[in-house]
Amino acid sequence: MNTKNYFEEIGAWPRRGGILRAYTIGFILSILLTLTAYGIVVNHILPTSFLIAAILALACVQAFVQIVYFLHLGHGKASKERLFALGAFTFIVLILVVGSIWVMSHLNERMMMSPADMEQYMQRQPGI
Amino acid sequence: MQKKSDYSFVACILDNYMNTQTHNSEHEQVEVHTGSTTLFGFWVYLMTDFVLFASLFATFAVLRGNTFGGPGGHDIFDLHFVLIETIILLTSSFVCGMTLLAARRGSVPRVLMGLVTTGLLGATFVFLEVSEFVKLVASGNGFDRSGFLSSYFTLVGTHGLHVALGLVWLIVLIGAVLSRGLSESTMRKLLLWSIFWHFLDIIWIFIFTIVYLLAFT
Amino acid sequence: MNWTSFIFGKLSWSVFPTSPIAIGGAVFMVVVGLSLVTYITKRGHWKYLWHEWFTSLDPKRIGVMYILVASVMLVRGSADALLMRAQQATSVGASQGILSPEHFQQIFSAHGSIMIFFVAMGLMFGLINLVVPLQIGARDVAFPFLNSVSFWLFVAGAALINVSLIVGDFSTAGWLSYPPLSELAYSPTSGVDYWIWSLQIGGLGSLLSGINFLVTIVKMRAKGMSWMRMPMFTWTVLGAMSLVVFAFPILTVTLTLLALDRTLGMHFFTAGGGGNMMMYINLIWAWGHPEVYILVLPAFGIFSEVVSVFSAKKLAGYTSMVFSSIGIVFFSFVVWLHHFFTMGAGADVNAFFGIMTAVIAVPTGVKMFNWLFTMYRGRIRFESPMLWFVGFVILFTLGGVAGVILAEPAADYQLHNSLFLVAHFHTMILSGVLFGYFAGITYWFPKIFGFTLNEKYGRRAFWCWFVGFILAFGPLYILGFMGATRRLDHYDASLGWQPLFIVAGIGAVIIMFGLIFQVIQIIVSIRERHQHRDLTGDPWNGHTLEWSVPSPAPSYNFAVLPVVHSRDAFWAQKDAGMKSPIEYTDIEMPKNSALGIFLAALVGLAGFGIVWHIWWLVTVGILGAFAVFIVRTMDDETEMIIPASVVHAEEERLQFRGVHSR
Repeated sequence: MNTKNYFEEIGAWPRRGGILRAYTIGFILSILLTLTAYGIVVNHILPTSFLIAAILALACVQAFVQIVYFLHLGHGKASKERLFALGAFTFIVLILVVGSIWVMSHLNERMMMSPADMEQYMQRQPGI
Repeated sequence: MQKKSDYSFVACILDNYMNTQTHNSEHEQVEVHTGSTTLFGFWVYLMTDFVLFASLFATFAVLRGNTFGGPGGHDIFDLHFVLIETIILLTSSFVCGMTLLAARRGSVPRVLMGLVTTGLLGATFVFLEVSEFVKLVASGNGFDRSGFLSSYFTLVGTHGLHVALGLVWLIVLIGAVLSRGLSESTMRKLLLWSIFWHFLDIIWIFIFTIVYLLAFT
Repeated sequence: MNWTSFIFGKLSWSVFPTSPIAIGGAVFMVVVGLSLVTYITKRGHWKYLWHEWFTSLDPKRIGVMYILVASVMLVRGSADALLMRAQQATSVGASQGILSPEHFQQIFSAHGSIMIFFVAMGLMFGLINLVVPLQIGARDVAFPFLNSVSFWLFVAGAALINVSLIVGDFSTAGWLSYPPLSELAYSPTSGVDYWIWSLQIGGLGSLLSGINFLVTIVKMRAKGMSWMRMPMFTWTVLGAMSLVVFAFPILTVTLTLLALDRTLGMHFFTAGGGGNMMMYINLIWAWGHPEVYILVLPAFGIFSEVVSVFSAKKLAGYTSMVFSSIGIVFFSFVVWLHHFFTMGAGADVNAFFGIMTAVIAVPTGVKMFNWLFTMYRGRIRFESPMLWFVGFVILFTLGGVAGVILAEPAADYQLHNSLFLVAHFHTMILSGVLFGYFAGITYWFPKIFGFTLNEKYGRRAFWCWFVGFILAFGPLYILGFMGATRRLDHYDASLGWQPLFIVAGIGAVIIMFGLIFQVIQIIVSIRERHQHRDLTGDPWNGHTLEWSVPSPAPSYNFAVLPVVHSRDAFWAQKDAGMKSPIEYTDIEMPKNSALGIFLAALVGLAGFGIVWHIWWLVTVGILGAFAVFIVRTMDDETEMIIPASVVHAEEERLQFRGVHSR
């Protein structure tokens, strides 16, 4: 069977080619992003909250790089369905993760207090 | 009700496939449609895996601080070691891509070489991770020590289990390539496996960042 | 380690039930099962069943099997319900009723688990299998083998939960097994493990079906069937399947984490060791709320089909129906905290989720109005599908309003976990989900079996369900306001609740008669089938493509794949009155396969092994399942050809002469 265009035919790879280039760029970028994140943490280059934001941002960028260059998403009509699915699921995942952290941190704060903290907290509530 | 079992399948299939040449292009059309349907279906499955990992990440985020008097991340993780694991997995993802390119060119030897290399890198990753786990268990910091450790072992362990299953899949694929060459179905399986492998590396980016790097900020 | 504990794990002679009612239930089930097996063997039906049904990858066959298994589980769940009603009607003051507290707890836990996972999900996937490929003009689902695997995993899960009636006990922690009660420290027996693994296995089947039908609807619609030309049932199924793939992985994780706590001593949700029990509740409801929308959305879709066909009008507000379905899918993901307003997250968090919960009632309201607008100025036929719809409108609206009351956090502090809540969600599930599925089964029955159901018994069944429901759950709303909490196995005589519980008990008995009438309906319909044959394939003057094929539908659905030019495609074809010359071609269909059965059986055995710590069985089961799966993937010859001549002969046999004019 002619293997030459199979991946393009079923919509997994872009028809315009440049796959080798894509993998190589993706690989190099990913290495750089990984080393950068590692470097800024090990050397504690930024203050803590900026550090956290930076490494999360680097992770998101690297994920994006691998999605585009390794998974070849976003190139044409055929990959649109998969891109839409990814977008929808990312949205749900964000709701789940951010929502859970929001809810659980509120529960933790209000349920895990010591009696002294509880007293102070109650004093601050209006109407009590 | 109609009884499919009454048809003499072999006779029917032979008759029809041997006598009707015009079906070939239609058959290929059906194959392409099947291929793209399978691709999308596999992608949807990967998306459910995405939610699965997200739930584990959410649990890890909530239980991170529950060390119950035991060690936290910064006490037990070795960032250097983890960086090596990361580079190994990343390289295996790249080699996986090269393997697909070789498949596209129809070169069975190169495909086999690529598969074996990816497999060795992947196996090294799993071995390193298991050794990390064994060390922790041996030092009394196993998964039953605290909520933090339970969620750490489960999140990272689930990823490792996925990688291990990807390796089993890889072995089956090597068998398929050896016995059937680069047929349409083998190409499809190679593609799906490669997408799975890339997906696991993407998940690892977040494990590397949220589990390991975050512990040292 | 000694040999017996290696081979048998924690099994011992003490696992069998000891109380009279429990023994009765187990014996009854064994007797029924053995009688069925004996009957089939004596009549020599095994070969037929194996080749035509069990190994079939035809979604119409799989759909019928889902509905049969779900109906059997409905009997078990209803028996649980009747026992609970009997207990609560009699366990007052000095009397302790008919059940011990522990047995009562097992019964309400089993009741909820069975009804949600094995009745509602089973009926839903059954109807989806029967109808969706036909409605979208396809011959099969995207992944036929996976479809079979899903069904048999469903059976394996149901089998496991039924085995718990005979071997060991069941969970006493409710249908959602909240920790710390569900943790090993407080539930050391096999009960919670049975719960975990039967749901895990059944849930896996559901997840795989979700993927399957999502891909089917996205990729396999007939040529010309654009998104906005899809039938409404297909749209709601798409919404429900999206919810399945979004939400079920969360359940998989949560069940696994609980299992890890119980089996490996981890500390996700334990009281101590750094566990956080509230995270379980957070995760389980992040799945649980989408789950109830998964169940109700297809029911809404069925009502859309039924109302438009039985009013002889096109569905009002199709576009708003589509967008409200999408709206429901989205909103069902941002309301989950309303199940634990009282857990103490604070006013800000409660306010957000309370508002979102109130908002989610809006798209449902849009649907309700559209159905009523569809009826307006229509030529309405009140056959039993329409009766189920009218019952739904009345009861679901009232129950829905109760839901909006509960959505208000301050009110919920009074009503959380009261019988008001129990009445609300039963109203939603019975009048929404169940009435919808009953209407769907009546509506699509002739397409699958070739004859219509007996209308007289259908009406009797409806009235029993409707009146029975009002009597069974009306008092519960009142009791909730009076302070009665859920899951009570005994209460004080001075509370004055008993008369209301007795009325509720009577209502439950009337519902039971409704079920009996439904069984009679099936038997009578089969006896009278020749008088009620559907000869045209279109007994209701339907609008959608499934009515364009003969009844019963042939295995390949369409002899020629349809091309669609508008919404309500079949109605349009009938209007145009065109009889296109039919040219038959060879049709490629999947071959039967027994591997789905083997795979699910191995997984089921592994589940049983985990419950009883029979580790060799777990290993064999899991490795075996993987092996079966790999064997299947290596099979390149999974399709067979139905030659054109055979298709032609089949169409002639079914006396089908092509597209009718109206």
